[in-house]
Amino acid sequence: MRVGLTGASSDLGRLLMPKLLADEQVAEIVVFDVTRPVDLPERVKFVRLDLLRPGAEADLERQLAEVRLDAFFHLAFVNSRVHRAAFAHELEVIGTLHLLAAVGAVKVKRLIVPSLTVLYGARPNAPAYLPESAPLHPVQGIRFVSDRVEVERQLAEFSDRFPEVEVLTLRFAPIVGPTSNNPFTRLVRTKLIPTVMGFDPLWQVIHEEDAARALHLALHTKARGVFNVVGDGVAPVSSLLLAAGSMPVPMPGPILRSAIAAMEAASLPASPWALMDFFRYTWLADGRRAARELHFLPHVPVHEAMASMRERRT
Amino acid sequence: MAAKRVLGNDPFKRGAAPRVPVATKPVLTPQAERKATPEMQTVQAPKAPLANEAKPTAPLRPSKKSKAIGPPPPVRARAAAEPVAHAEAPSATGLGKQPAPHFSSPSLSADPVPHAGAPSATGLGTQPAPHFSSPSLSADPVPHAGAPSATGLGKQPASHFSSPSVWADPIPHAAAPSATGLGAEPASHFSSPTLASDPVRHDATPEAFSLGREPVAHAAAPEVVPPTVRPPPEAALTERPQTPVQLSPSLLSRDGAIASVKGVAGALRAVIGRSGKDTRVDAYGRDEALVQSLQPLADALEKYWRVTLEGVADVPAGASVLVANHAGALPIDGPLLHHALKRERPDLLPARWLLEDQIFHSPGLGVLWNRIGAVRASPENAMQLLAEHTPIVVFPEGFQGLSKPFAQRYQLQRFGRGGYVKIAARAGVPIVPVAIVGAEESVPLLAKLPAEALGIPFLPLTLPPLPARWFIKFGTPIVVEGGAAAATDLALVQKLNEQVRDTIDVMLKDLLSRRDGVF
Repeated sequence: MRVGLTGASSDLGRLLMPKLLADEQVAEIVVFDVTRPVDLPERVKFVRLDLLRPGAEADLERQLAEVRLDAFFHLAFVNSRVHRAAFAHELEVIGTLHLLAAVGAVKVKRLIVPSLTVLYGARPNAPAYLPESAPLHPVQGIRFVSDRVEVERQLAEFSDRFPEVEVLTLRFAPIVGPTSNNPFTRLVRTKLIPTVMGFDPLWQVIHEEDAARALHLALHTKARGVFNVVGDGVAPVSSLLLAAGSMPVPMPGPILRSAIAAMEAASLPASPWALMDFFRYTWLADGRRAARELHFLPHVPVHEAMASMRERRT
Repeated sequence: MAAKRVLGNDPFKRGAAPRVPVATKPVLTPQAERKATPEMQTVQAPKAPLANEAKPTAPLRPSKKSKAIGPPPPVRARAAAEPVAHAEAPSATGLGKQPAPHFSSPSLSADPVPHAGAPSATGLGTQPAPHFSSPSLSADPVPHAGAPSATGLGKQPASHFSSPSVWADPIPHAAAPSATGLGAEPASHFSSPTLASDPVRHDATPEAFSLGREPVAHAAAPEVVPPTVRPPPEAALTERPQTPVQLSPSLLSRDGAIASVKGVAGALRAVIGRSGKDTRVDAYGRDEALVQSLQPLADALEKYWRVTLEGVADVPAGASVLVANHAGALPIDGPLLHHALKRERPDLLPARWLLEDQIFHSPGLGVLWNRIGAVRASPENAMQLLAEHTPIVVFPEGFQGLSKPFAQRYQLQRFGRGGYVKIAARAGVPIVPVAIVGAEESVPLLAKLPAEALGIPFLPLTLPPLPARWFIKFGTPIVVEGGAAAATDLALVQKLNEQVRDTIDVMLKDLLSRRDGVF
């Protein structure tokens, strides 16, 4: 089996690589990236590719036709801190557009793309556990979320158009762990975190090792479609933050809201009020489909996963 | 008398649900216990029979309270054993000795005059003592008998109670000594004054009388009693024989008090939205540790409200949809029902109650309720819980049920759109109608204060929980025929919806008519 991947140096790519290397069924690994990732093992083939360049889909199509891949992991999403939102948007939305065009043209057998349960949004009228069929809701003002909603829309369109390509979308709960760096871990690593007083919704997280394992399982499963991939158990958000060593500070809603409005008015960096919905309503995803069809069972309980944030190895 | 009864039954008569004629309620209170004081004992009631009109058809069961309220553990066992011991005897024998309803009115409490259990008093002298004293007294060798504690506590030793006082408790606790005295010297403590002045006493019916005095009947009583005691529907809801409310001593043991301090601290943290680092919750947010630490407090509240359950044995095993009326300014009916059901039916998974958004998403309260077991009301959640064999409690009136003014208490609001019928049909589980009486008077909704800024529709103005007695009646399960197909038949859904609503309405009126006093 030949496996290709983009975003090999992203958190998920980095965690997935050892699993692919250890997998006897994986005969060849091809990494597509703009530069060769440091410490890439010798047996991994590197192909230079700039997904942002106009015409990238033609390059990729040619390269894909040469290597004849069985499965493709598209992991090139921006999780680290970005100072240029436009770049991240280009990479995620336009990059995916290019990639899908090439993958559709050469008919790679399987395409695996990570996504996020955050995309469901935190909504007061949601059921306790959101199934994969629940609608996605971009959060006003949060590029990190709205871009990924756009990516999912493209994926859904793509899998309708190319039924012969098996598309697996894995919607991950917030990924935590000592080496992870994403908006959620950066939030959790803040010392004081204002939360909304009188609310303490249940949250899910998934440990990075579990997440990588789920991604690897997607390579061999017969199933296709969308999967919620969540950790073991749920917990009130304040309890999770405390477990990770940070301090939730409940603030009365009206005060918090006006503080945010004041900061926005002063052009100070502030989390939009819309983000506060995640601190008011639950947005738990139902992970039973992944358990059933991916045979994915999380190993790390939620509190342990959060506690692992205390040891930082990035 | 009529006036007194009305007063006794419901001091806030206006707007209350209609009540059945007084005559049907045979209730006598051994009042001696309530008010007896040492001095009173010296006063001998001269007299005679003051039984109320007692109807054989409607036996009262005084001691239900002990069953419903006693210490939690062996539920079934206790239910079975207890009745035999004390409760049933009186009822079996006859109604003669039932506690009179006259005492129930709140005003009574203020009344310095000791009401003696006049009717019974007479009988007492002549008869074997057990019958007259409160049921539990008679059977129970332990001297907690007449003591105030008897009412609520069942068998808990009254000794370790620290806080005597209670904000909400308007009624003075009967003096322990007199209570004890009751058991020992039956005839002694009846205050004559009341009797004389009280018209009610005089119309005792002859039959009641004779019933009361029949020694034979008494002897037979124990055997007559069925081992499992579910009060028949007609039974009057009197359990008041002993003392009115007891908040103070007996409600909370010292250990319980210590545990509940921890529980309250946990609850406050939940309200603020800052749980502990080690908080563990189940899939729907219930924090078992918090529930455990609040357990003594919940038990105390149950005693304080003297929760009486009827027909709890009829709740089917496995999943079911319990449909209850929503009442009072605060949504305390859900937790109370959950708690009572957990204790009485340990064979069932703990029932989860579904909360409307207005409560579930209200700051503070919503989180706390979620931690102790509430689940947001949505068809998906309901189906999921039922699939897990969990009984669910729904309040189809929704927020309307909670936001109706006190004057409209016990008037059922519209039952939503019958979503629970569809759910029961789809899940293939029975619907159990449940009527809850007591919530409206415990936390009456006096006014709605504007509180949009807090994110809630209004802030209810209420009183600290009043010691109204609670009655929870479980009706006969209704099976939805037709399975999942029935869920799409809107006419059928509406019909069943109305049927369930009517059933609950009837049960409510029945409970209200049989209740001989609010407090």
